[in-house]
Amino acid sequence: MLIELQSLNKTYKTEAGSFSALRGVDLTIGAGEFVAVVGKSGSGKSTLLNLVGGIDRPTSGSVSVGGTAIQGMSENDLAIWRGGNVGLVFQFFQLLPTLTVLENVMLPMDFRGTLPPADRRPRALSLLDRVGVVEQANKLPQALSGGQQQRVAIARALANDPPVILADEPTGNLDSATAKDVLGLFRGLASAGTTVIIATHERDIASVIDRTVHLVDGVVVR
Amino acid sequence: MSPRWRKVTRDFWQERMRSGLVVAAIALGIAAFSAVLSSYAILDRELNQGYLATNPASFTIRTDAVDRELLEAVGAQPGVQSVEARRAVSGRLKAGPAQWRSVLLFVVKDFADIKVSTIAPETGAWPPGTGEILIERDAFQVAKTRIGQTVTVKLPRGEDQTLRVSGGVHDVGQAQARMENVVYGYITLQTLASLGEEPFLDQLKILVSGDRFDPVHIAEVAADVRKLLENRGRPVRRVDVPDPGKHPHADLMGMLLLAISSFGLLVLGLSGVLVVNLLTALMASQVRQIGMMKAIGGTRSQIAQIYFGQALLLGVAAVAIALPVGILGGRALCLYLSGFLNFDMTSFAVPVWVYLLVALVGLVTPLLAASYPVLKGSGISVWEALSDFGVADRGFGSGVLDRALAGVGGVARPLLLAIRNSFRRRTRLVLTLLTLSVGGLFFMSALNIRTSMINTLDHLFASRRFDLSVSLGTMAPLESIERAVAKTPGAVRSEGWIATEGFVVSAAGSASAQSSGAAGLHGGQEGAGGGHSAAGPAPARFAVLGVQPGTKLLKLEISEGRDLLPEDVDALVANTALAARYPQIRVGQSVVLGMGPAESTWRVVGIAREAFLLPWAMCRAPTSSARAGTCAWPTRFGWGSFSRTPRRSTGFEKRWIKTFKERESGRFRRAVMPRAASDSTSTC
Ligand SMILES: Nc1ncnc2c1ncn2[C@@H]1O[C@H](COP(=O)(O)OP(=O)(O)OP(=O)(O)O)[C@@H](O)[C@H]1O
Ligand SMILES: [Mg+2]
Repeated sequence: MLIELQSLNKTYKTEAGSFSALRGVDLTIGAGEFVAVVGKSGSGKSTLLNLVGGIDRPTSGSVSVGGTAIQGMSENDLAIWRGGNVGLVFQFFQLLPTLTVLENVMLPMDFRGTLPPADRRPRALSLLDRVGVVEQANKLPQALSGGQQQRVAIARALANDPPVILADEPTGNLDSATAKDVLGLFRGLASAGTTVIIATHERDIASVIDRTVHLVDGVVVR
Repeated sequence: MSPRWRKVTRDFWQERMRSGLVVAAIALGIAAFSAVLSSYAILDRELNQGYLATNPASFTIRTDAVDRELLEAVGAQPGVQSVEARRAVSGRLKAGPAQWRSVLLFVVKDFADIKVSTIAPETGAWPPGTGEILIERDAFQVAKTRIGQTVTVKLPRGEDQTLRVSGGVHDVGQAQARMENVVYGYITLQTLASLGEEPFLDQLKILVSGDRFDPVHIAEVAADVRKLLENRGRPVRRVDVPDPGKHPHADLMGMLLLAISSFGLLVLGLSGVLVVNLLTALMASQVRQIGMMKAIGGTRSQIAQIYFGQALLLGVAAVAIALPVGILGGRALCLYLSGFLNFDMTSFAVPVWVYLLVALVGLVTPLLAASYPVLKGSGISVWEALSDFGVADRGFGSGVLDRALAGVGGVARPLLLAIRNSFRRRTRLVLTLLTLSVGGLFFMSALNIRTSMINTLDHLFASRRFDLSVSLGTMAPLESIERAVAKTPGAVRSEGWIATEGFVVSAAGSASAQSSGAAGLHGGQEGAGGGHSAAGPAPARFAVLGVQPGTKLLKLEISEGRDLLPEDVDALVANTALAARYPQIRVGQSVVLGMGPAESTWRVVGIAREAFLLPWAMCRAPTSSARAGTCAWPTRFGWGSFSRTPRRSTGFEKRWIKTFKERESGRFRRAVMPRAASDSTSTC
């Protein structure tokens, strides 16, 4: 899916004054691309991802995902839109603690209501199988290791088969071997046609990704 | 079950401690509510069924001796279905050596043919023979007798007579004999004659034909019968028309039930507060989860559903517990009330509508209570919820109670840990209850805040050196009080003080009305509060005490600066609580105080350390001559204080107060004994 960002600005108002986290970002990402957003801490990586995912709103500029301009949508419409179009993965997995792994993966389908209820469990199981944690399906998240939890989070992001996956430092809390596995998973998804954007501090990613977007103080360089 | 519902149930279970408490609270309210509702439904049916089965008279007319001819004439009257003559005589009754009791004797001509206001035989003989008496089943306990025994009966015009108790009856139409402390007895005309009364019947008990429940119809028939009697030259002494078809004590029952149901509603309302609290806390602790659910496509209403589900679960659990308890309680209540109203229960069947209504109230209450926190909590934006800048979890240690608990010392560590842990989740709950009760207390005390502020001085001075202080209702010349004190033996020393209240005039406030400090104190007795009319919130008032220069009855512990000196004029000593409240109250600085109608400037010379938290200030009582020369010190004073030799007994002080009061009753308001061990206040 085509993602188009045009003269995107994001200014945070704080007590100390306003702060520009993104300045004049123009960016186009094609369908099936695996893009890494890199840059120093505080350079605006998370902000960029949040704007693409409709979690935060730009101060000015436009965000278009698959032809939909999302910057003007209401909170609720955004939630519905996200449910079908974007899968989100975070650094701290963010699985719901009182739901089992399987239920966590089923939850987005439940919210969106696309599949008939009876088909949701098999689909969730097949997703868990795809990320390699199907044996853990009936455990609570806290019983899983960090890497396993991140795989579950990826499975959850895939639940509604979204054309875009956004992952904010998905490997930030994982050891390097596990991180490599997780990146491999994303690679596979991108190769199958899903647009994947990750914000990351990982160094050796050149081999798996298609493109790097370098941010310096809220500006895309190169 | 969908993941959403799974979340509802698991969260409920995870919070079972807290949820359980809330469920218990709701259940208590519902149980009381359903007990009342079900017993009302049952009793309404049973009471009226039992009562109607006795063919209660539509009205009763009292005349003089009823004869056969009159009975027939009334019976032939249109609108009258049946008529029966009765009589009721009150007298006294005694069983063996027991005390005399009141007895109400119902005289029946033919026990075999009672048609109106029937009574039912229960035990022993039926009908009673001459010289025999039947007793209402509930009245045996009042009469302290049994079937087969004899009782002594005395009617106003007769002699003591012995009657044999031959049986027991049930008379639904009478209130519980035990409640009324009356014995109901049933005798024949012949027995009445033997008791020294004229053997005639003087009441007509009439049951109307047609609509027995139509008061208008009954009144018409009653009027007709009355006319009939009057046309025949019979006196009509009284016509009693009870509420048709309604047991005479149904209203009483209704009132009892109302009292219980209002308790239930109160508890239900309170549990609503707990639901609000629980859900507010739950949602605050799950902000990130809410954000995450929104991030993966959950809409506001879907998320609200989850938490409403939580509230619904509370309601379902409460109803599940409360309904059986309430129905059982309703039975107990029915039994109690049926005994109380003296009728028999034939069925405890609860109508379906009771179950439905209880379930509805039980489910709707928590949902309603939850609506505010849920709608508010689910409305948070994703970004706010996910960012660290949003509402943060508040862990243990942030609440007042938590800190108080953390400060608990001298308890074994594991125990302390246990206490803290059990309070962790309940802090909010306890706080709610505290808030509620404190709120109530506060409201009441606020009504009396001015009085209490001055009263505080009586009780809380740690540095007082006197045994008794006497408050006067109004300002009074010092000499006259000193004379009165001198004439009351026992006082060693006395001083006149003034107690009033003041407030700090802010720097921006008007300073135009400034005058001497003394003038402020003078006006301050009753007219306080009338002067300062600056816009904005009312300034916080505190107590100001004017003492005699060089007072020997008050020794303050000065922590900074100095105490008042005899030559001080505009000097002020504040306590630590007051100094903490106002930055301008510092040693060496000046402060403008509003007292009474005037404002005046004072020099802060010292800060006194005081154990209690209420702010107060102390200055010299008016010595106007020294400042403005308008009035000579001391003209009037509000307090008198005195001390006496160390030998102490409260009895002495009480006697002194008594003597003083006799002398000065017009001015005396209240006396306080600060150092007496027990009961330090004697308010008069
Ligand atoms: N809610 C906010 N209010 C104010 N400033 C913010 C807010 N969120 C982010 N910022 C600021 O915007 C800048 C960009 O933040 P962002 O989180 O996008 O950085 P990042 O590149 O993701 O950093 P990291 O690698 O540490 O995650 C930072 O300087 C940050 O302090
Ligand atoms: Mg970041």
